Parts: sequence; structure tokens; C-alpha cells
Amino acid sequence: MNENEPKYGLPQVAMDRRDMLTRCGMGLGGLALGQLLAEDARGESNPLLPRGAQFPAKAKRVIHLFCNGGPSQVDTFDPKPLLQKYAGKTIPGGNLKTERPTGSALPSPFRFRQYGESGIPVSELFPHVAESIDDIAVIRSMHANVPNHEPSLLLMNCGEARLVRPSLGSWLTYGLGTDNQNLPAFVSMCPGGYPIQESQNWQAGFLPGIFQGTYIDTKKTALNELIENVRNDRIPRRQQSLQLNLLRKLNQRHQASRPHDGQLESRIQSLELAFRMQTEAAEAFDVSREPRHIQEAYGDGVHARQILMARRLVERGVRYVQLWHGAGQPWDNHDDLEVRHRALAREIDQPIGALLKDLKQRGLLEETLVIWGGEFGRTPVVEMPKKGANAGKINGRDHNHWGFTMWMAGGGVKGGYVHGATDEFGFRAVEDKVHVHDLHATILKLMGFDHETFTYRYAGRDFRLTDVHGTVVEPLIA
Amino acid sequence: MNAVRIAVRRPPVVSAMVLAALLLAVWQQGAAAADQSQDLFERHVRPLLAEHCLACHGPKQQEADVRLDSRQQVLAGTADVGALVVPGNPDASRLLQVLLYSEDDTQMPPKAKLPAPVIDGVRRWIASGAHWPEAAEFGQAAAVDTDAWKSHWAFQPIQEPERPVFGGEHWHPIDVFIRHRLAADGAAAAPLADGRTLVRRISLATVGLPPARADLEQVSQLEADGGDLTPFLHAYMDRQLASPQYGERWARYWLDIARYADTKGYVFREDREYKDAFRYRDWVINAINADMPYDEFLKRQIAADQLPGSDDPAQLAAMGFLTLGRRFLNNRHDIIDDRIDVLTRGTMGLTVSCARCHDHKFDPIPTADYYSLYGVFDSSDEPKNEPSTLRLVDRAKPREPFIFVRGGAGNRGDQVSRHFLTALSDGYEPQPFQHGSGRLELAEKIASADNPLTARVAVNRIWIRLFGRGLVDSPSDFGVRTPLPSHPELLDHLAQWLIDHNWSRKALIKYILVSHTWQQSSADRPEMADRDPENRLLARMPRRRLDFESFRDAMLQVSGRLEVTVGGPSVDITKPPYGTRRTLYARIDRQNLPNLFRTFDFASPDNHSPQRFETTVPQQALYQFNNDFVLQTAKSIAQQVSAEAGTDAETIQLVFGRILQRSPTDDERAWASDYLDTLRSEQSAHSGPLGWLFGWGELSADFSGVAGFQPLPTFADGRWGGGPKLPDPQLGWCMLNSSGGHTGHGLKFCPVRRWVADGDCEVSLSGQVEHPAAEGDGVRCHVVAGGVNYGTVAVHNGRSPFAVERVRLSAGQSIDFVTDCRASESHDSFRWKFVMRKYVDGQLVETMKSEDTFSGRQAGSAPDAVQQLAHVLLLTNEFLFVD
Repeated sequence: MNENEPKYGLPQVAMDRRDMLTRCGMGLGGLALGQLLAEDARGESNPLLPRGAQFPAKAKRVIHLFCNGGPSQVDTFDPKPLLQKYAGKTIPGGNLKTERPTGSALPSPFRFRQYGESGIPVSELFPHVAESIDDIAVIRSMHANVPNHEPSLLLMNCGEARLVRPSLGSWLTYGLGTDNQNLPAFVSMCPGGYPIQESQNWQAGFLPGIFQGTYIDTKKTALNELIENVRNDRIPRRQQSLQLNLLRKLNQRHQASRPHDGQLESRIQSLELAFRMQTEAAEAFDVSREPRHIQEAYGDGVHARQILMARRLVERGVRYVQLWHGAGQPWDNHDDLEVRHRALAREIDQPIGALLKDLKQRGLLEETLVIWGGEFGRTPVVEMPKKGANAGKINGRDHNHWGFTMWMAGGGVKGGYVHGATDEFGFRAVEDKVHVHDLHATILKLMGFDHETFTYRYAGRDFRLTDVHGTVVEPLIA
Repeated sequence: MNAVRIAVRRPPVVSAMVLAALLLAVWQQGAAAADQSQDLFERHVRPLLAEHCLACHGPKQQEADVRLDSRQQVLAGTADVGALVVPGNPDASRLLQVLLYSEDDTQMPPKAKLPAPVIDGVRRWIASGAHWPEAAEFGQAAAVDTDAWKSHWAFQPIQEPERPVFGGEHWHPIDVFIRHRLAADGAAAAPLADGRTLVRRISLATVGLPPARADLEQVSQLEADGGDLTPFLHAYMDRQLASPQYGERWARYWLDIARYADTKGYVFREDREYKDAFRYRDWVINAINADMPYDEFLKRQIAADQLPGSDDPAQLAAMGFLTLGRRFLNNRHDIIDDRIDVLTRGTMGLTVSCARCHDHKFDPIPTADYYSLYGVFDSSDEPKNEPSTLRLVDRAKPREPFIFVRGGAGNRGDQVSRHFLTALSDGYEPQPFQHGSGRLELAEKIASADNPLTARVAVNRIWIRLFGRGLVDSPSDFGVRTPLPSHPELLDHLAQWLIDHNWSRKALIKYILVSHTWQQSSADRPEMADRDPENRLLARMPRRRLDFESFRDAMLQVSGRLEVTVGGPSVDITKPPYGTRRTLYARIDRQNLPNLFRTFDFASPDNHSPQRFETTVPQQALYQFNNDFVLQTAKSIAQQVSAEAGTDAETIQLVFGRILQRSPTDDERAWASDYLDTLRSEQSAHSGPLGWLFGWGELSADFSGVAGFQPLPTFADGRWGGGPKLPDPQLGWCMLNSSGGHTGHGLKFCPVRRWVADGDCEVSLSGQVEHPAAEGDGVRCHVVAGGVNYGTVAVHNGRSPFAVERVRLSAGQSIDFVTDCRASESHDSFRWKFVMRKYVDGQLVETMKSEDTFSGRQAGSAPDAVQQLAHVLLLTNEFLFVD
């Protein structure tokens, strides 16, 4: 849309990028720093301008489908027939310690079937996703640190369970900028409110605030409700652009006598971005512009809408889109797992399936990394009744950080591939284990970064997403 | 007591967690490489050795003479092959070679090859220098210094530090410490900021509002005359600190720490309101305005029921500090935990809550200490049916606490006494509290000059508010992992100073404000960029953005609308009419904090917040561009200015004066003047409202136009109608809602949705009309613009699609959506949903849905040029930042 608006003119905001780099101490490493400085010499001076990664990579953008609460691996992508044999019995070797007391083996109520040329089994919860299984790498050997939501959410998003650290989306936007200056670079959508830990999940931490995720409540439909204050119903746009022109002059004059202040520059940039967001956002978030057959393929409901929005956003160059299943922790089925998992999966299976095919058909899947999973998985054994926890029912599963499943597709990932394995009951990852840090290292590699040298200097330290951990899981890369 | 001896328990062997903490501490001191190597050791090598090697190559057995349980032995190696590890050279290291499982070489461990990541970890460990932590010898338990925490800086008694011999005789001690440290880096302080800057800085720091213009002018005059600014500035500080707005500003800082909110959070169907919460907020304001000594301030918040004035509900409200937390579905253990947390982090910077389930991993806080405090609160109840619901009283018979093993209330461990924290007790032997619950004794232990933490934490908090950053970076964690402050002696000096000055916060604030350090210029110091990029050394004053409260209050102030009453019930500031009270009186709903607060980095009402984030996001700018409250502010300024000014030049002068509190420069004058001209010529192209109107009018007999269009007068219950009641005496049932409406009588009273184009464009329409009722004769829906009928659809007891291709509209021209009742107006509820697409130069620029564009507000004329100019100035960085 910006090319249709030459008369408003896009700003050439003065920004001493070299100063920002040194002041903020951006430690992208020699190559990237040199690249940024070269951009500087060309007069390009916006921290969100697109730039190359450390090395060539296929994946350019990410869609992260976050099933917050923790989907059960043995009911989705990690079949464990042995649970049937031990149904109602204690599993040999005993249960691993999780958040709450657990009991005997709880077989999956869902049938698995093999799909695609790869023949990878997928449960009846995800038949549409399964149709694209040959594009998917299933990681069955994920593990995290603790069986609690809050630290696990932060670990999955920020690589650190407790302290304030930038999220993966912020890191990638910092490293790559974004291809569309009129939309937020990093969007986090959740219908109906926030997940647990709220906006910390998409925090910029110590990175500049411009790299923070922009939260959108997709339960709302009117644009003005999707993004508060996105419209001015009093000042027409042409008049607002005159306001912005004057504002620019006044701010530049103010800034001229206060050089090298990243805060002033960030504020100026945020005004520009806000102005452009008003029109670009309206168009990008309007899924009714999609042809009927596309809308039908994604289906109805808020998840279909937000997943289709995600495709529209990545198509327009948004770097990182995170989609949460809902406020709180919908997948946290300590009880009634069969009913609830079925209902939750039904909400997202069709649209995710449609997304994978749609991206592929548009040639976008190659450069779009799609990630699916929760903050951890669930126990293969039943959760025992606990006051105030599971309504006294004995038909759910507890949190499980010892072993769980995630999958990735597109973006240079090896399709039709199963990586790693849990034990024979699906409790603990035992083979080719992939820690969350390893997953992060791999995602960064797919995006063109070496997780050990992709750093940011803060408080005297070069920080990494993976801190001092992480090993790239090479077999996942095509 | 002595029945239960409280000792800080430590595992006999160093645990991985403690070791990791030690590693972290070392690392933070900068030895990154060694650190990484140690970490690799912990992550890969130690588990490998323990699990797979030491059984055969350890203290008991040494197969092939190989022993792997100490660095010394690994480096020494065997007579056969020499060193088993060559630091820095993995390929030459025998240990790695055997792990590789080459077919023609020894393969270790014999059972199976290790996973690649483990081998890779060993490789990287060797490559990084094969660091082997001294404490990690195997076989013999390394002695761990369980008393190491005793030498942690924050646990040392506060005393006046030795002052460096540096600078002039009359230098402010703060300046001596700061400039001495700067000099160690070969740097000097920045010069003083100018008078105007200092007056603005002082005003925002003390009362959180921009200064009065008169004070700015006075200081400028003094400066121009070459006078000494100091007496004026000091008097100005005193004046501001004496104003009631000071208490309001600094109360909000304390409310961040106290996780203040007006609601309880999620409590099922119980009333969520804390009706008396504001009484606690007002108590804090009054206490700060009265400069209540900080020790008393704390004691009253913990045990006002046991102090003089305990018969005064206003004094008892102090205990809202403890009682106003989240209710956690009224789970008593969690409520008490929240109180322990706000109390210990809030006053002493200790994370005691970590000891709920296990001894604190890092700090000397055993679970016994946690449950002793638990016992204090468990022995205190909230009385029912009191005038103030905020207070606590001791139970007649205190409850003796038990440790809940791993935090489980059903899992009772040892009984413990109610006592103060072990680490802060004489001889590390806390004595049981003697009186009632022990809450007053606890308060006295905290609010004591002998407590090494309380005063340090307090002065650091004040420092943060005045400089944007603390001398200690983790203001609510002064535990053993907290590195030394940036200026340790200064912290101690300030803490001692506070104690020596009767814990007067007002005095301490002024003491800091009069320093050169605080009055330095914020101008960039490029030469410091490499040496001190974060300005820890304070070679200049940091420039700061106004926080949410100051920004909103400043808007109210410069528009002359700020209400200055102190105290009273909270008000909703997110919805019209918004309110003009200071932002600290905003109602804070803990469960559903409105986005406005989050967008502007407001403190989380769920957690004690020692420091706010300062993000810059486009949502803030969207609010500033588009929110109605901001527009109203600009409008109010414009009205006042226009009443005074005659010419544009005068207008510009006055708008700058009001908002930026100065005259415009010549450049700015010219820009503003051009702006007003351009804007007016833009506006003259089409006056009148632009956008959506919800009205009524008479449809011409040929359905080609609407005569006498007027907006419907009343909006209620989601619909526009002729009056407060339907049917209206004049307009009858004529009304509009988001999905459709109801017709009026005949062609004369047709409901009309009107859109007025804000520029030349084309629109296309598609949608559906529906008349659900079987009764009556249905309705007709017409699209009309510029005297042309673009379509009429009749519908009765059914639905019908409609579409209109490309209607050309010029700026200011309207398109009307009119519905008439046919012969009868009975049963004429209709639905009319449509999408209007707007094209400019053939390009789709906007999609408007009828449901989305329906609103309880009629489109209005664009704000006049002066209002828009005022709006721009409210958005400037100059307005938003303080140098």
C-alpha cells in the first residue's frame, strides 16, 4: 500500500545507526555489523530495515503455533501402544516426578493412522495436519526443565525460565529486521486475552523495545478493537499526515541538539510505524479479502481467522507471527482430556492443515518455518485426583517436561522425518534428546544464525538466546 | 526456645545448583571463556564421568591405570599414553579419541557409544581449555564454605564509609563518591544543566508534573542576569517537596512496590472489589506528604493495630500493604505467601518466598524461616464487620507453625517458632517472638537501623526514581547472587544518612537533588560511549521519558484541566468522560488491567514491581495520535488559546507557551504557520463531518435522494433512535443499530446511514438485506448518492443479496443507505449488512464493514487547525522527555 501513497511521502528519519550499534552494543558479529554499517553508508537508517542473516538460509519468516497449556504427545504424534497393555496398571520403573501426583498408565483414547509416503503415524486429532506429514519433521524427544507453566513458557519463548530475556521473535527481528515497514515486525496473536506470563512471552527484554511482539486479541473482529486506537474517527488521514510532517520537523530539531539518544530515535520511529500501521493493518488483518475457496479451506472460527491472518502477515513480510491457542492455558487438560483435547484439536486442525497447503501452493513454505507445540507435554499416566486441581476426576494427564513432541515444517526442515524417541511409554525422551535450547539453536540455524555468535552486548556481557547451552540438531535440517 | 535449633542447612556436597550459581557469579565478573568451559564441564563432562567412567576409572578401580576423578590425574594421564586431556586440543586428547568409537581403536564406554551431543560437549570442553572447577573433585566431598554468605556485602552492618580524599572541601559527598569513581576511569562529571532544564527536572522528580511557566521564566531571567541559581533552585525544591502533589507522586512509587490494586483478582462469584483499597492509597499519600519517618512508615503498614492510633481507621488503613493482594480463590496459604513476598522483597530485598518449598537455593533462608513468618501471618486475622476492612488483628491464641514439606500443606514437617530471619539475627540464632502473633516484633526487626538491608534497599529505590537506574541493579533482590553495587560506598553513605536523618525521605530526596551529580547536564558524552555505554558511572544525567502517570498528568496540566483534590475513591480513566484526576487515582483492576496501562508500562498489580519497563512501541503512538482523551486535551487547549489569540502568530506563540512552556523558534514559527495554512486549505475543500452518520430523512418519491437529513438524536442500548423511548412521538420506530434497524413512518421518516467521503474516491458495495418477520409487508433498502439511485432491494420475510459496482464520490460528498417501510411500518425490523470497499486511483485502500463502522458516535467535523496544532505539540519528544 505504501507505493500507492507517494504523496504522503515516507520519512527519511535521521538516525545515527553506528551510534545506536555502539551504544546499544549490538554484537551481531563482525559480518553482520559490517553489513549494518554498510547500510549506514548508503543512508539506510532504520533498525527494522531488512538485512541478511549471518549466513545464507532458506527460512525467512516464522509462524509459531503455540498450544499453550501443553498438548499430550501420546495422544497426537507419539503413539505408545504399550500403554494399552498396562492400562490401569503401574508402569514398570515407576512414574517420573511431575507437578502433581500421577497413577497408572492411561492409554490414548485416540486412534493413530499412518500418513504420507513417510508413513508417520498421526492420531485422529490431526487428520488435516497429517495430510502434510511429508513436509513435517516430528521431534518426539523434546524435553525441558521443570513441569510448571510459567518457567516453561518463558524457557520456550525466551530461553530462560526466570530472568528477563528477549524472546525468540525479538531476537530474530533484531537479527533480520523486517520486510514490511508498515506492519509490526513481530506479532503475537491470542484470542480472548493473554496466555500465562502474558506479554513476557513476547518481550524484547534488554533489546530495544521496537523488537517486542505486538499483541493482538483476535477474538475481536472490528479493526479498532483488534488494535486499539488504530483509527482516528475525527482527523482524516490526509490531515493526519500533515500533522506527522510537522511532528517530524519538530522532533528532528529537538533531536539535533541531543544526538546519540536511542530513546528519542525509537520514539520517532514508533510514531512513523503507528501512522503507517493504520492503513496497512486494516488491509492485512482483513481476511474477508481472501477468495471464498481459501476462506473455506481454513474453515470457520477464531482459529481459522487468526491462522489465515498469520498467512496474510507473513506473505506481507512480517518476520515472526506467534499464534496462541487462547487465554490462560487451554491445552492444560488435567481432567477430561479426551473431550477437551478433541475439542481443542478440532479448532486448529483444519486451519493448520490449510495453512501448510496454502503456504506450499504459494511457494511460501520453503521460506516460512512453521513450528507447532506447547511449553511441554503431558504424562502417559493418569493424574490422580487432587483438591482444587482436577475436579476429582481421574481422566486427565499431568504436565510432562521429561519428554514431549513438537513439529516443524517448511523453512529448510527435513519433511517426513521423525527425530528422536521417548521411552516405550512416552514419558521421558531417551533417544536423540532435544532440549529447548537445542531447538532454539536449530531454529536460529534454519534462519541463518549461529546461536553461539549471534549475541547482544548488555550489561557487560554478550548475551545469546541459548545462553551457554544448545546444540544444533543437524538431522532436522534438510 | 532452643527446642528447635534453626540452622542454615546446606547439602554436604556442593550441588549442581550452587555450583552453577558460583559459576554464574564468576562469569558475571567477566571470565567468560573459563566460565563457558566450566559450564561445559558441568553439562557434559561431569555427568559423563560419573555415569560412565568412574566405576572403572575412579577412586576404587583404576582399569588400565586410568583414573578420571580429578583434573590432576586426567592431565597426568598414564605412563602409556601420557595426558588424557590436552587442554585446547581435543583431537590430541586420548579421552575424546576413545569416545569416538573408531573401529581400530579402544571404544569407551564399553557398553555403547555415547550420543553425539555428549561427545561434542566433551570436544568443546577440551577446546575451551578443559576447565575443571576445583570443587568438583570426585570421590572426596569437597568442603563447602557454608558460611560464605556471611561475608556478602548486603548483610554487612551499615556504617558510614570512608570518604575518598577527592575534590574540593565543599563538595557534596555524593559528588565525591561519583566523581572519584569517574576519575578512576579518567573521566570528569558533566557541567550543570541549564536553569530551565533543572526546573523541569526538579518539578517532574518531586511532584511528577511539569513546572509552572512562571518558575521557568524566573530561572531563565536569573540565568540571563548572570545570577546564582542555587538559592532559587533550593527554594524551588523545598516548595515542590512541600506541595501535596509530592505525596501523590511518591505514593505511586510505593504503590508499585505494594502491588496495589482496587480488586481482588479472580474469586469466583465473590465481589471482586476492594472497596476500601483507596483508603490505603490515601494513607500512603498522607504519610509521604507528612514525611512520616520511613521506619515508622513500614511499622504501621505491618502492625498499625498494635501502635498508637490503633483506634483510628485512617491509621489502620496502613495495613492495606499486606491485605490488598490477590486473593487466589481465598487460598489461605497463597494469600500468606503473597504477604510474605511483598513484605520481604518490598522492605528488605530478600526473596523469602523462594523458601516455601525448600531451603532457598542461594540465600541463607531455610524453610524454617519462611514458616516462622507464615506463623506470624497465620496468627493474624482480618476482622469482619469493621469500618476498615484492611486491618489485621492478632488471634487470641497464636498458631505455632509447622514446616510444610515441599510447600505441601498436607505434609507437615517440624514445628518451628515464630521468629525473625536467621541470617539477620544476632549470632544467627533468632529468638521466638514474645507478643501475640509477633507481627509488631517482626515490624521492628525490619524497620530497624540495625537491619543491614532495609535502609540500603530504601535508598536504592529512591535513587532509581531519581536517576532511572539503581546503584544496585536488582532493587528487590539483595541476596548473595547480587553483585556489588556500582558505587558500594555511596549506597552505604546514603543508607547511613537516611538513618541519621530520622529516616526522612523528603530530606534524602533533597540531599540527592542538590548534588552536582543530579544536576548534571544530560548532553551526550561521546567519549564515554565505549568506556561506559550504559552510563553506570553517571558521567551525565540520563534523559528520561515521562512515565504513564506523568505523561497523562502533564496533558491534563497543560490543558488546565487537572483536578488537584488529594485522595478519594478511584475513578475509571479508560472510558468517557475519562476524568481529570491525577492518574494515580485511576481504578486498577488487577484481573483485567486495561491495555492502556500495559501499553504504557504500568506496574503489574500482581507482583511487587520495584522498577518499570520502559518500552517504546507503536501502540503508544497510536494512543497519542488517535485516542479521544488526547483529542479532547488538544481541543481544550485550542479553545483557551483561540479565546485569547487574534492572529496566527499569537496563536502559535500561545500554543507553544502552553504545551512546551517556551516561545517557538523562528523555524518553528514558520513551520507552524505553514502548517496552519496548508491544513486550512485542505479543510476548506470539504467542511462538515466526514465519515459515518446515523440519521433520518425523507426519501424522495423516485428514491433518488434524501431530503432534510438529520442525525438521530439519542444513542442507548446499542442503537440510535428518536428519543429515550421507542416509539418516539415524532420519529416513531425509526432507529439504527449495528446490524440494521427499524423503519419509521412512510417515506418521511426513513432511517439513513450516511457516509461522507474524506477525499475523492470510488466505492463498491456488497451485502445482504433481510426482513425476518412473516407479518407486515417488508421493507425496501436503497443506495443513493449524488441524486442517483444505485439500487433498491425489496424484501419481506426473507433475505436478498445486493451489490453495487463503483460509485464515484468527491471529497465531502455522501452516500446514503436508506430503508423505507413500504405501505406499513409494522414488523419492519430489518438487517442490512454490507461491506463497502473504497478505492483511490483504482487501488483498494479501505474495507469498511457495516457492523464495524457502526458506532455510538456520529462523525464530526475534523478538529480545527489550532486543535490539530496543539495535538502535534502534545506528541513531540520535547513534551514527552525530560533532559
